[in-house]
Amino acid sequence: MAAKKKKRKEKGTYKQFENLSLDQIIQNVEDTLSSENPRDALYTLKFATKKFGESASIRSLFFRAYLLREKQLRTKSLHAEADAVRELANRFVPEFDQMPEAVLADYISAASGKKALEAYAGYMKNGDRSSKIEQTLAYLMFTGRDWKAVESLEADHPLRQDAGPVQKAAALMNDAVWEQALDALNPISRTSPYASIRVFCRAMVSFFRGDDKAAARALEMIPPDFPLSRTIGQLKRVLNPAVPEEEKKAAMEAVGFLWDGPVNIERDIRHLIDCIDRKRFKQAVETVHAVASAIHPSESLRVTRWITECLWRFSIVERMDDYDFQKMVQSLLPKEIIDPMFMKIRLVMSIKPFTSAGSYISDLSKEFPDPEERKLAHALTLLHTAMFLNLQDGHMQFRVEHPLIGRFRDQLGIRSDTYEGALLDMVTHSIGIDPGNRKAYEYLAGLSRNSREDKKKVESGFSVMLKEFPDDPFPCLELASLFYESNAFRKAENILEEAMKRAPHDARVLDRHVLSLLISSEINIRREKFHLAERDLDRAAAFENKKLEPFVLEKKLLFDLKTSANELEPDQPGTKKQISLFGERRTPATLIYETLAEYSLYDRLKVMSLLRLDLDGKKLPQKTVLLKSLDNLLGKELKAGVKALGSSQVFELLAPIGKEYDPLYESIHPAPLLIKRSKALLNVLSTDDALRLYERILLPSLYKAIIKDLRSRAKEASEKDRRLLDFFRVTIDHLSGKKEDSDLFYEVIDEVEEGPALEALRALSRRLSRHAAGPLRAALEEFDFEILDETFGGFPGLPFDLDLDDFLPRLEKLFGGAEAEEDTWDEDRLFEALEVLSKIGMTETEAFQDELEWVIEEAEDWVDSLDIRGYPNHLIKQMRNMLFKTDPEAKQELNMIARVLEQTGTQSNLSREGQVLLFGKARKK
Amino acid sequence: MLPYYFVLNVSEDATDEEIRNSYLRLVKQYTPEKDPLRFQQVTEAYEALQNRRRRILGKIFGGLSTKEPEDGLWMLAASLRPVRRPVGLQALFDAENED
Repeated sequence: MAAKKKKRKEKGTYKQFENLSLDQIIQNVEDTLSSENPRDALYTLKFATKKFGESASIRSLFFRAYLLREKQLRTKSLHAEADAVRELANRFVPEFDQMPEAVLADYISAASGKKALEAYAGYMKNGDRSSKIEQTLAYLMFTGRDWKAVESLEADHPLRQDAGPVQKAAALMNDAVWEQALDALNPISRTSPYASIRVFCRAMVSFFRGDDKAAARALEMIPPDFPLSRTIGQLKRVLNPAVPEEEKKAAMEAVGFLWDGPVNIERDIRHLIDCIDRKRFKQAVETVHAVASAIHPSESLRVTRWITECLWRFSIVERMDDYDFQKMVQSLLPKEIIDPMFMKIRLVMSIKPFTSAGSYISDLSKEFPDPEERKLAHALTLLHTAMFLNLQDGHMQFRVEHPLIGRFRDQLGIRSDTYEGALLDMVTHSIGIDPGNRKAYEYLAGLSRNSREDKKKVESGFSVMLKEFPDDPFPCLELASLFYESNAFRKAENILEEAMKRAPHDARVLDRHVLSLLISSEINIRREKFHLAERDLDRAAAFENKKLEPFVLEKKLLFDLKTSANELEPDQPGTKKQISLFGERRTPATLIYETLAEYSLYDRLKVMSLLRLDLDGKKLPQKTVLLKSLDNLLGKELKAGVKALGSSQVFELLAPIGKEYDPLYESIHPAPLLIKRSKALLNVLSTDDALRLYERILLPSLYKAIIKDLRSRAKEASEKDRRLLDFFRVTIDHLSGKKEDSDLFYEVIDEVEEGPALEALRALSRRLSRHAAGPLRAALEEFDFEILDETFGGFPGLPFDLDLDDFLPRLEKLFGGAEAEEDTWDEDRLFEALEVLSKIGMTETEAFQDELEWVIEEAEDWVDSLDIRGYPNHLIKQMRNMLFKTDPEAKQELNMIARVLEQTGTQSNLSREGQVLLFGKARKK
Repeated sequence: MLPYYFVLNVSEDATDEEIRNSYLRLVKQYTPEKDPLRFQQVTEAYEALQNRRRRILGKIFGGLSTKEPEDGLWMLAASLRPVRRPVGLQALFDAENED
């Protein structure tokens, strides 16, 4: 077929030339050669030979055409083919002195040293020296063909003169000592035929030094016919900052031998991801192996393991089935690594966090043979698990796993029967193993500690820190808080003294000290030990602490009001004027006014709002009179001065006062009492401040005021702010239970395009989620409001089987008695109990009253643990149906319990939610 | 966290001192002006490996702790910077003449 085509082509070409003269054909060949098309030129020349015979000009053109073709083949690295063409060219070698310079250069470039020099000598017969040809000869020597040949040249010929240094440098270049080679090339001048070799060497030196600019500059100076032109071309692309990254990577790959390690791993990673997405797992496994070996040939398993761990995330987001992932793991990793990896996956997934952590810790010796490292790994795993549980609110999880935790008592350190206690046990156990981990103490400080036992655990933890970090005031401050919570004031003061010794200039310590004095004064006021309270207040004031000044002032006012309550008269209109005139009649308002007169409006409002919060929880003589006076004064100040306040000042006034002031006030929220007295306060806030504030004061009593403000702001807000305001408003509508419609959220979200604006909405949604519960919380957290419309999805993430496992064994204990095995559901015993109840009928249920009450109590606990209190019936029913559908045994067992309750007439003692869960519908009580 | 070890060019059992020395060497090499991206990577890697507890935590959770599915893989790719390998002239000629 190819022969036929060739024939056809030749025929066609010949036809084209049939009517042309020799000169015309020669011109045509010249043109074809100029356009670098030697094959067409050769066809034409063959025709010319046939028609006109072989002339000198035709021979010369044959020679040129073959040389050009040879050059092309060499560029394509087809050296065998090029050599064959060279043989053909050699048949037509013309006289060298007749050859054009460029043609001779081409001829020389592939000739032996000796022949090349002979050819050059022939060329020079009738002409001058040619720098181009000499350069070609220099390249020929450089490529290492025949250094001896230059010795035939005259001694002062630059090719011979400079040959020595170049020969020496070439040997050094061969040994990859490029800098020494460059030194050896020092004698080579810019006009030398070897000059390009020196420039090339300089480029390589700069390249290996990492001086890309100098390397690129040098490479640009090298002529295109340099022997390493392909490599130079690729390097130029690599070093050129203007070349696109992809092209650069491809060029790097072409000269990959110049680098250690894979030069285009991004391409391999992309390929791997593509294989996963297209479910080509066999190819994916091969790619992982290839990448791992390329990155770290001696430790490819480490890389394979890392990649495999990363691939697990693909299965989590369902870009890969679990089954496929497991199959890939088996192909990628040896068995001894697979088991610990799946153990870790269980730990990260935390489906059963307590038992997963226990199992993992039990097996640590394999992964951490060094005992010291093992200890740290143990402590860190405990801390990680406790932190995870606290974030997720693991109450239910604790109840589910409680029967199994005993197996890992030593590993987890859990002794407590409560969830809060268990977390504290884990963290203090972690501290016991690794007392040097500050994170553990920081975390311990944030854990809830309501019972006396829990407080003791926290105390023991911080006592360890006290010794471990002798210069740090943090444990002292935390212990002081703990002692105040336990009303151990003397101990609190002593430990604060210690904090002062450790860090006398630490602002936290000073603040805490003033606060402790205020707490002490508060207690003394309550106990009516006024001389002690006065002493505390004076000491607190002596600190002149700017941050706590309003609190000190407020407590002083409270002290004055309390000590002079019986001497004060009710306020009368015009009281202030009378004071200035007579100075004798004292009312609560005048007392407050006198104390605060020298302070700014902001400070006055701050102190008065604190006093108002304080009075709410106090027993005082003439409290009604005091409250009325204060409210009047606060109202007047707000009315007169609200416009003089700045946005940030209003923000500070309305924001919660901080958890550390808990021991001083009944509530930490001054916003409701201030907004009630002046709604105009909200108008002063900038939209940014308003949004930040509302996130912090999102109390049901303020919903109405906040919604109203959000609406009015939205009318004049910028596009971006309007969406945030609308989203906030829709969220409050849902929080208040007024609305339940995902479309309302999507109406806002759909207006926003992907980008910073949508990110801002997403972030707001996440922040607001902490105010919500149930599906709304999940929807806000996930920024997926379809959750609100879903049926079963209304209860995201609830492990029903586990919940039921939690409920049923306890009922079993009731009916099965102490003999019942701990982890099995003794159906027969329950049936027995049921039969007894059926037989005795409703008349004798009193004998089982305790048991029945217990069943109801447990069922209610179950409802609480499922977090479905307040859900509409249809949602609870859908959940029940789903549970029955997925677990027929559970259906049978729950129906049995329902029958017991029904037959004994105790069904109506269940809450609505409990009834719907057990019976599918609720009866009116 | 394997990529961090690659960024700092230290072995998994490197000591605190070895890690610190490598970090100091690399921040001198990749200054924020010269190579801000690498500087950031080096700093991040040092933060993650500077003490034993963090290294152990990294060893426990490894690639499982990445947030998004592709994060860990791209992190690995970004951590690797091929190092220039001085090769001899003959190797260059051989490569030039390769098909």
